[in-house]
Amino acid sequence: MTSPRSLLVRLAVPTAVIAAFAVLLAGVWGNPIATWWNFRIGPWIDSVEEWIILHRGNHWLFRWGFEPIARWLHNLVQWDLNALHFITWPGLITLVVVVAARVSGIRAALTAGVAVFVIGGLGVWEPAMVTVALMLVSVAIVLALGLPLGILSARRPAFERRTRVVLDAMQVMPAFCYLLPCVLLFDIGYPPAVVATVIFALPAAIRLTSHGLRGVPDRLMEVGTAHGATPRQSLLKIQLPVARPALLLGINQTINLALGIVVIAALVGAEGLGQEVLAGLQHLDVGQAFDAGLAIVAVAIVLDRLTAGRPLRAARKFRRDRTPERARIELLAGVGAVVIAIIVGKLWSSGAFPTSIDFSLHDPVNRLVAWCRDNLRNGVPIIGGTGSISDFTVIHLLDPIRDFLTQRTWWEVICGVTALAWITAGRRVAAACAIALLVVTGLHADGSAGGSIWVDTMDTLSQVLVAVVISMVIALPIGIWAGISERFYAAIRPLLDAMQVMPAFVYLVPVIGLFSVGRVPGIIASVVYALPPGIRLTALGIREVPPETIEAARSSGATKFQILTKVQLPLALRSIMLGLNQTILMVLSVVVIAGLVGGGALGVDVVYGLTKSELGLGVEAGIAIVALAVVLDRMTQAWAAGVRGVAGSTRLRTPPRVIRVGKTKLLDQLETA
Amino acid sequence: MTTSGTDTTTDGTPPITTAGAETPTISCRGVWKVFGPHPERVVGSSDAELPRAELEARTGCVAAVRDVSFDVDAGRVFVVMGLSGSGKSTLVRCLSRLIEPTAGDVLIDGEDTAHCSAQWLRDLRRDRVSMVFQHFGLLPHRRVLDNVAFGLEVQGKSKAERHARAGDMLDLVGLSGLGDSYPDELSGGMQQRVGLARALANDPEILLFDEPFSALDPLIRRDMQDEVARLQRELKKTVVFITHDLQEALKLGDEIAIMRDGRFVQVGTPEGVVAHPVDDYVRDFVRDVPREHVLTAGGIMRAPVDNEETAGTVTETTLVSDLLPIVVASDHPIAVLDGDGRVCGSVDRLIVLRALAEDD
Repeated sequence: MTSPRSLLVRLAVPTAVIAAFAVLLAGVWGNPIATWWNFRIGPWIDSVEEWIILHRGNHWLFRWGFEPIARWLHNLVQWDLNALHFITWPGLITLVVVVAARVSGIRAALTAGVAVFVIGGLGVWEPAMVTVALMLVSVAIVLALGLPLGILSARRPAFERRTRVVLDAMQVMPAFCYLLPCVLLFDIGYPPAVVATVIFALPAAIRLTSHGLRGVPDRLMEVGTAHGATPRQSLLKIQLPVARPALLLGINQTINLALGIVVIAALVGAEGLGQEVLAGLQHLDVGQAFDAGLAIVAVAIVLDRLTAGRPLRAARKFRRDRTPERARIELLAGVGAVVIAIIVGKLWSSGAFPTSIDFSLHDPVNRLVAWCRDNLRNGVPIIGGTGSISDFTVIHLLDPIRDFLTQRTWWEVICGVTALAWITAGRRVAAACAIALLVVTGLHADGSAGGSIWVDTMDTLSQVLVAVVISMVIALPIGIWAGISERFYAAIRPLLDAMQVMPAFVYLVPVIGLFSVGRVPGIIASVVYALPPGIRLTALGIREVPPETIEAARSSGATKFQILTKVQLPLALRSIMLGLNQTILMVLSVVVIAGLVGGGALGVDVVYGLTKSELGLGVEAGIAIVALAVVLDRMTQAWAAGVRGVAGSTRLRTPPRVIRVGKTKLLDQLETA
Repeated sequence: MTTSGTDTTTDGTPPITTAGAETPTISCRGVWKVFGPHPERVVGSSDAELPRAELEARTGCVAAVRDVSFDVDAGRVFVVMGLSGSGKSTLVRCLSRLIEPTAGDVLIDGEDTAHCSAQWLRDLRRDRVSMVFQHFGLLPHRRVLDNVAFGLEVQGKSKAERHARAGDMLDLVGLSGLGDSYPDELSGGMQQRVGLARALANDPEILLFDEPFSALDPLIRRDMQDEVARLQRELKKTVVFITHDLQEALKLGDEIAIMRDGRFVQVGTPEGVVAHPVDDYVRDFVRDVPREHVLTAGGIMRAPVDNEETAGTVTETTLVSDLLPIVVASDHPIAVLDGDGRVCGSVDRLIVLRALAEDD
């Protein structure tokens, strides 16, 4: 394979083909943008939108289809909200503590109880209840659909194959892209928020279920058959219970994903914590956004503790010690405590959270932000302050790359990317990249800043590249250190967990405080958001190197540095490549959010389309983001697949993006299990 | 099958049970299992005679079991011995149709398992056939007691009934009081005792063992073999036992089949296999066996000579290891008595020495 001759052939063939292609395209269509090639997706969407607005009131599709669904969803959320109000805040805290104690143990219950209390103390009780109500409805729907479909997909490979493409698309597509159609079909409010959340979290639920079930070893399934179990008995008595930890982890991840998107749903008029963050950002009131962001983290903690379950040994002890009488007493005590708490809540100031309990960080945060603005933005010795860092990044990194990309003609870019893909990743990936980029050239909506979709795509691409490079530059050393030092890994793990749970929105808050608005804060927010998977997969790759291999190196007299560079890193390369892949997908998934703080380009196009009712533009920009995702995802996945390494466990049949935020956490927990 | 000392190679179908005998509990007739595309085309074709690699290159198929036939009578232990990849695990799974054979018949108590309903097969596995697995196959989420009760639970027995029975089974295999533990809290040997108890819980007439002790330490393995031998003396099940350990095969088997590349190379009693290996492959296997622990007086004796002066008597089943001090102490031949106490042959020093030295 690697003889000089075959290398020459490998390079020569693609180069020749692409050169011929380029000459042909350049000769025939020498325009900077391909005007001859137009899908007219934008105008078509716009006309659909017009039709819908015109017929919403009277057409049967809405009368008998979407409207009843919307009403049903709205009522469900409203009903939950009423129930939350009815049980009052002492009732809710007690209920959370009781349930968490039953499911996950006393310590988890206390954490959860404190978290609920903190939400109230931050002064965002009302919006938090809306968010919780939205979550309850969305997660219930996701699980009701996801678990059966996951079981089906585990048991019927044909079904799994057929749905793979759809699930891939659902996961890569930025949530904003389907928020738009959701609004069109369900109007604004709770229903589109619920539907968008379901679409976002469903693929993960299906895949985690199916993955968990397929992880049950064949030899255990055979035990069922050998004892004459029916398929149903095998499923209920062996497959589901054995897969239970994986399934619970899946539910846990699904809830995290759903929480991330419920917040974004603020953009379509669903109230809640997202609305608070958004309002804070829009008024540059960092303190307000920070309080709401903390509350989101608290909600995440509560939901996690409610679903995490006990660790293995504690669960067994719990089950052994549990006699029927004791279970009955516990149930009675739990119900009793909740009832009493509700009555107390009713008697005490009609159940509203007392304003006297207040640990809002609004003012200190705003003071800190002001201080940063005054003192850090300029005039810091040597580094010069955040303002100068920002300027430096723009002038020396972002602008040159963007200018390079936008000044090339469209066919130069396509040929370049295709050639790169062909040489590094093979023919099929090259074809996929070429097609994805050709699709972008067929989009002709006017960008919000007056440029074309193509130019905006190149702009976004430049930002994504810079963000990915910065992420990896930071993630690699940290990941390597975490891979080598058990202590350091244990120290940063809670931090990584918290970073992954937090919705991307929240990162924008301190970043804006430090860097104002513009492309750089967008990039920094994406970097922070995308760091955990890079760090984790690097660390995992190094930790997965078998101890015997390291022992062998050490017994040959290798120094620690030699072991790292000659054994650990090469073997971890595959895992690191997967980390790169995940980093890229994470960065892409916050492109729109980066757009909100001045990242411009495709992100702003989507937001603009959403808020100004220019759906055509929004959808075309969404498609362009998906195209970028396809190019970068395919290429990096192929790189990872081409590397030999120890990351055997990460080489899942399903592509790595499967679980997105989830998978790295999943691996991490499996590894500690 | 009541072969004693006579060896049957499976060039063709062995004779169906001797006239007048009852139906064998398990009967395999020309069983094939071929994995790959169009497996039925390989069965019986000239391709089937090809070595493994060539067959795979030509047809994309792997023949795991090729034309295997045997009978096991009620209460007997039939051991299939072979190296890994010889097809023995596939064969044992064909018996309860966990793997569907490509061709051939499997009869349980004379009933053909080929064309029966899924329900009939389930009932067969629930009531009449149990299996003990190589990696124990314990369900990690269940307590030991519930693991043992699994088969009864599948049958739909009530909780009280199955727990009582499972408790008895745990007593039987020497695990009293460990019902509340979880499998991963037990040692490997104890885990396999749980597997054994589970297999015995539904009181099957047939027990299938798929290399049950190969994952255990040598000492524990010997304990477990003794345990199985003891249980078999008490319970008299019909057993098919898969192993790659010849010692284990000789220790437990009433009859042994040596398997290679999907075929039975030799079928016979432990003594027959050790005394008269049919080819170099089997000879290689039995070379290191301490022959005096396997060969018996009946197996090595010569025909009785009239009016011979004998110095004592032994029975047919006396092991050569017990015979040795007797022949050493006597200059005269020793008479060998059959089951009815009649003289059926005799042995002397020379015969014993030849039998021990024999390396044919």
